[in-house]
Amino acid sequence: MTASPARLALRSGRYLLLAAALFLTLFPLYWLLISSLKSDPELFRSVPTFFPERPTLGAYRDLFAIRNVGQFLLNSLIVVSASVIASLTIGSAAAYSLARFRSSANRPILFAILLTRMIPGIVIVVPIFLMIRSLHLLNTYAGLTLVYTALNLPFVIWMMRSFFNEIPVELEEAAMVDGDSRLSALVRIILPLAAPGLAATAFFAVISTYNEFVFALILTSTDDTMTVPVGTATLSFKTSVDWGAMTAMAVIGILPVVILAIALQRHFVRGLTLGAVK
Amino acid sequence: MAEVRYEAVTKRFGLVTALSELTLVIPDGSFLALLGPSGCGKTTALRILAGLDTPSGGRVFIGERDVTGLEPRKRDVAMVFQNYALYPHMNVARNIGYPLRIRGVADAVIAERVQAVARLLTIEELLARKPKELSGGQRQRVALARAIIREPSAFLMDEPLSNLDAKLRLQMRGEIKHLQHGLGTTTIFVTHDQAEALTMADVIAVMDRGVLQQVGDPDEIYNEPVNRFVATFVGNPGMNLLPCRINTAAESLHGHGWTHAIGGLATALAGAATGNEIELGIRPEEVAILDHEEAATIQAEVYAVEPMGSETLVELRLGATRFLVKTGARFRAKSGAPGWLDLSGSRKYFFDPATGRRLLAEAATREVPEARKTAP
Repeated sequence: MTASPARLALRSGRYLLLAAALFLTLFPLYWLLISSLKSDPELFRSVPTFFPERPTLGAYRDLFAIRNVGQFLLNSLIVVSASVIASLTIGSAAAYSLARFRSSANRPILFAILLTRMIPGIVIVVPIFLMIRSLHLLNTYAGLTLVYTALNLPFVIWMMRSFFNEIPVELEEAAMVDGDSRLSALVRIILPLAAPGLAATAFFAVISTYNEFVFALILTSTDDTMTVPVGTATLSFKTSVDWGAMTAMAVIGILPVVILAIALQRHFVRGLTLGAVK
Repeated sequence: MAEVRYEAVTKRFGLVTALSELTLVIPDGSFLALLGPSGCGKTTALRILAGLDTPSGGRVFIGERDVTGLEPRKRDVAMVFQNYALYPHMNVARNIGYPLRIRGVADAVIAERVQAVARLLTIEELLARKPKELSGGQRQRVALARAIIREPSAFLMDEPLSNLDAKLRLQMRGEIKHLQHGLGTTTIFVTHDQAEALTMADVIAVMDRGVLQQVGDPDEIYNEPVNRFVATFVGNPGMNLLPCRINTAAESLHGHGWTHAIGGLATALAGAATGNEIELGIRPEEVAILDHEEAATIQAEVYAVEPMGSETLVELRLGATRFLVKTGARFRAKSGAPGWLDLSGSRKYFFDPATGRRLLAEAATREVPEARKTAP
């Protein structure tokens, strides 16, 4: 049966909207990529080119050779991995406890956790700086990891609690009767089932930690500990901006997250939709 | 295999007492049904035995061991849950073998035992499947297989048939009973379905509002209820109760628009009851409905007729009181028509309305002389 003209028009309109949204989302990334591959003169042409005339990896070479980008990436990798693993471990344990053990304290605890998410980071930057300094943890991985773990915990607890609530409590009760302790039931039965939720939570935690700028800026001042966002900011000077280096840095910065998203996408989609349909 | 014992077990949830001083002995190798309506405490009792809930008071024994403070894994019990609780990320074989795997049993031994148990429950062809690929009946068999593979001291079953359709439920009743008799393992089976309890169990423990009402074999529970709750809960439908007054002078019972002679029992009842008002209990299948008046019959009004194929359930009204009769398949009557209840062949029970307890249990089978009818 052929569709009516009105239906066709509606469908076309929908596709048009989707195309426009995709274009708005993807074009800036495309522009970023091609800009990173253009030479400086081509970058500053009055009439922009939509494909590099003579693609060059010069900007990338300079970043790694002169600007210490490899170190920034390594710093980010270490700090993000450590803090996300720590927050997932501690947060999941807290979330499990809040999901499974009924207590009148649960509600106030959850509210307090939610409250911490509402505080803008900039408000607590100075107290955090003073605390980390008093612990002699400035310019250290440990200092940043500690702060990022604390910042991620509320989000992890809230997300994982809702995922644990989706898993029937009878499963771990059955495991405990079958011979597991509560801890081994959690590890052997619950965590595998919560894997999609863990993947989704981990992904969001990685994104927010990786992109974090303010705390990284005030807690680090040497190349040995600077993360990618802070390192990228150093490419911007008072009188000029190295656009080639900046765009190449942005591309390099995006890559780890893209790779992670591709690796986790199966779990990620399941995790986001888990519990949406009973 | 072991005896299971509850000693004055109490469980409180805040101000609510879910279980009150439960004392119960389940003999070794027997099949006990914990029967009662929702909220009566039967599942709480089972969970306390499994170690999934901690009692507020009292002790629980499995064999000679006091297991009250022990974790579930140390109690040597196996449990079948209402929704089966199969591990979704494992296939059937791994689900069944899981209790042995946790205990470090060798893989070869596990594989052999899984095959044996699967054969017993005729689920060999399902071993590679995941739980989501199974029907309700198949899942239940897998849950049973996982329970029996360990050869525990006791099986605990929390309403395992309630999620099955009626036909499958009937089939599984017989299979579970047969299985339990073959294995000889002490089994505690929680159900709200009195038909399940009567057909499957060796012993039934009836509970209501956290209190144990009566323990006995099915015949005893059905024919010798100790109080009005057991009498009305057990039976499909449960016992009819007619409020009435004792007339010792006339040696009869007087209800709303009816009288029934009980001879010398009247005096005995008056002595046993708290007051003059009692309740007369009669099972629906022990009453005949006549389409004409005869001596000693009670006139009632047909309210609804429900043909059930092999029999007919008739609801009548005696004033405001509802009265159910189970009669032959060919019974026909219109709603609103009169019907005469013949109680001459029925066994009568008497209950104290104030306390609910049964009166004169030993006198229930006595013959009743010819009755008189009074005008409404």
